This record gives sequence, structure tokens and C-alpha cells, in this order.
Amino acid sequence: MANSTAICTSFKVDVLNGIHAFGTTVTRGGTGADTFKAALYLTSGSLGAGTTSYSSSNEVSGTNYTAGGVSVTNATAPTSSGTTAYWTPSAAIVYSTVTLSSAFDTVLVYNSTQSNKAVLTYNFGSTTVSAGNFTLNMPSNGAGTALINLA
Amino acid sequence: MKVFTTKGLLEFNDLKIIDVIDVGDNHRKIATEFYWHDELVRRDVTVSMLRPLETQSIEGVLGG
Repeated sequence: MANSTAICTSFKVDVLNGIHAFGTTVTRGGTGADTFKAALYLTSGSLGAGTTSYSSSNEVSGTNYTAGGVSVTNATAPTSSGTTAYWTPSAAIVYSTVTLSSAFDTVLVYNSTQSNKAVLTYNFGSTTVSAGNFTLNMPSNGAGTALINLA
Repeated sequence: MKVFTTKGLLEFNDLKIIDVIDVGDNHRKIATEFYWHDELVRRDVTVSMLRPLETQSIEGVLGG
């Protein structure tokens, strides 16, 4: 077997686990997993790849919805298969008995432990909820199907 | 069985229920709408996130 050029798969998993720090602005204070949250945004928002952190601007509001959203269940550590490292929340994200009358279409997952820094945005099309539950079912947690893949 | 609605608890059998299904390129969305005398009194939405998010590595660049 010859040598090859590659980003090490273990490094990808390490990135998801916060092991490496190329910069000098490391602020981590503990060794436990961070807390991640999920906030919902109105269709008038402009979230996407350029989003850097949670903001209440254009966030939904309504009965039983708390600004900042809900916590994301994170019971499954990042892992890898083949050369892909991946992670998926270990349970659906649920907003219970909410009334969100203004159309919204995007969820922002962010790290509430690390200065609310953004992780991902996901647009699921415009919707409203009335005195009901809003549920985001997660994809299968595997290489190429997980919510986050470092391929 | 009673169901929580904008009108308080209503009998399930008194409600008309409609499922509205929307399939996009990255999601499948099912809205379950509850009507009481033709008035929308409850709407639940379930989104299945279908498309994974990927960050491609720069292995190709490194490899020239």
C-alpha cells in the first residue's frame, strides 16, 4: 500500500469533537459536550451560509415559543464511516403546543455554550402552526445521510 | 377524546381533519389541520429533513 494525500478521517471526527485549535482564540472551558439549540425564523429572514451566530432578528414569536428556541438532544457522539465523519441530533426537535401565526421556513442550530455560534441553517419551506406541535424529524445518522457530514 | 385547540378542549369526533402534504427538494412536510365548524382551530406540522448537509474536504485540491 502506497502513501497517499488525505485529510485524516480521525481529524474530521476530532473537528466535530472540538479537539484541534489552529487559531489562538480558544475559549473552551470544559471537556463536556456543548449545548446546542434550535431557533425558528420567519420567511423574511436571510439566514444561510453567512450566518455566524444566533440572533433574535426575524426569529418567530408566538404562544409557548421562547426566544432562542429549544435544546437539541445530543446523546450520540460524532463518529465516522469510510472517510466521512458525521453527526445527527439523537431525537426530533419538537416545539410543543405552539401558535406561530407568521410564516416561518428555517431552523438555525447553534451552540449556546460557545457564544451562540451558528452550526447550520435548514430551510423546510413556509409554514405556520396553530395550537399544535411543530416537529423536525432528523435524517438517519450515517455517512452521507446524517445531518452534518464532513466528507 | 378531547383535543386541545384555539377554542380550548374540543371533542375529537366534532373535528374535521385534513392532512396537507408538501414535498420539497430537501424535506417532506405534513400539516395536520383540525377544523371545527369550518374554522381552523389547530394545525400541527411535522417536517422530515431529507437532505444531509455536507462539507466537502479539500483532499482534491491537495492532491492537485
